[in-house]
Amino acid sequence: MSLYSTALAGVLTTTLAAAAAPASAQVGAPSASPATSERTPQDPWEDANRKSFLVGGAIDTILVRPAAVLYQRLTPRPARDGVRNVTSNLGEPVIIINRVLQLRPDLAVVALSRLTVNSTLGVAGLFDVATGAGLAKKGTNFGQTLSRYGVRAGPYLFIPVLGPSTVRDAAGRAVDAALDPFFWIRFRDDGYFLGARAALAALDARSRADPALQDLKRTATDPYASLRSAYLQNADFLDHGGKLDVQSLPDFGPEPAAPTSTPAAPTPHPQD
Amino acid sequence: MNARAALLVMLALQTPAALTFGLTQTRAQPGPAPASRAHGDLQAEAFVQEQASRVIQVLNDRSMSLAEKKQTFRALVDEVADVPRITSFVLGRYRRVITPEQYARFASAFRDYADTVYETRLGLYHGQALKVTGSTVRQPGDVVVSSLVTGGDGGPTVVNWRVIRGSDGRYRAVDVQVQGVWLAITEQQDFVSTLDNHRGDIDLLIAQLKTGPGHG
Repeated sequence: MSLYSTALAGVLTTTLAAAAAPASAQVGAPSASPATSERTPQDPWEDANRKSFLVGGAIDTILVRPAAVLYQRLTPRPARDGVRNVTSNLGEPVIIINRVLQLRPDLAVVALSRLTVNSTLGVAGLFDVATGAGLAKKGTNFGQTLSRYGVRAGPYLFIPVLGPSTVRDAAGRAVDAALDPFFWIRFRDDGYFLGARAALAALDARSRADPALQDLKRTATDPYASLRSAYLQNADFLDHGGKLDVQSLPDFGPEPAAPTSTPAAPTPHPQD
Repeated sequence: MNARAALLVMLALQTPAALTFGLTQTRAQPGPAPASRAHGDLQAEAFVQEQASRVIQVLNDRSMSLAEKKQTFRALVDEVADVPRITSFVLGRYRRVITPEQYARFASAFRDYADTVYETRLGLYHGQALKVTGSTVRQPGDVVVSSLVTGGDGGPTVVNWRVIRGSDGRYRAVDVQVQGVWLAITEQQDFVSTLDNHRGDIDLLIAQLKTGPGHG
């Protein structure tokens, strides 16, 4: 956790880095680089986000991860698959509404068909028979609906328990909750139903994410920065409908063996 | 999860769990995009298809022990990935301000670190297949090759490979992307952030790579 104690310095150096740096080992503000991949202007609240990240990490270690691990150990795979299918199926109405708002009736019909098929043939959503019938799930949310109308993602946000997000997508999540018919329909024990459904969905998501998150913790030199980077790249990818813009990629530069910009030639890379 | 760039090939073949930590929260995920990409550079496509097949063959070879696989892999990496270029890239703007001596030490530590990280994942691999579907030329000799990886846990996954032609005329991989997340770019942001937060102390980063970041 000592990694984060100097997070504030990181914010300052990132913000102030403009002037050319001396060719020295200890540099606070290296020169700006043409590689857009290096900067994170999308995280103006890094200091607060890093604190949230620490809090989120603590809650995760004490509460969420143990619960998710326990869930995984206690339930057999088919049961977990069933839970995932049911919670996923209950999410289809929100997808349908968002697809309509996105003016994508074709995809609204896919979601509607999935809901119908899985709720009936799939025994109340327990089995995802729609995917097998060529109706693969294409998730979406209100954040993407906003994106379709030109709303930018806005600053990066890390929210304890909920995880990485952006201002737009966090607001979108709240709207998605309000768009959910189950949020409005009143029936006996509806509070328990909503609570159990949210808890199961969270346990399922967390247990599936566990290998990746453990790997992140083990291997990243700055887990906060790695998670932010991956989240923002993925969010950008989703905003562009999964299309790849190769021209926006950073340059990899010339072959390192023959540098042109370094004052002194580096020693050749040792090959073990 | 992380972006251990030097052994890109292996990690990408071990999608989706290892690669998708960006999506581990409850974000919506699109299905694999239709393979409608044009064939921009056939030599680059052939490179990815051939090397991926070699790698998959090693991974699926039940007659090899884990130790043998590790050994074979280390030899394969230099042919498949442009390790010097990746090493230079992940340092970002700090590449230009460190001394040759520091760079050499970083390169050595980074290589060992990446090898270790990827080797721990070797045992997790279970049979997958890769099929190249097209490519886009960014500029001559700098190509993104698209492929579809099937047979993993989830459905088919689109994996994009950035390959760059070296001075020897051969292509090598420098980066790999799954669900929008590029490994070397993520790696660069990880390292640069660590350096930013420690006043550019390259020795601290090297020390972290040597001890394992999780204990740093």
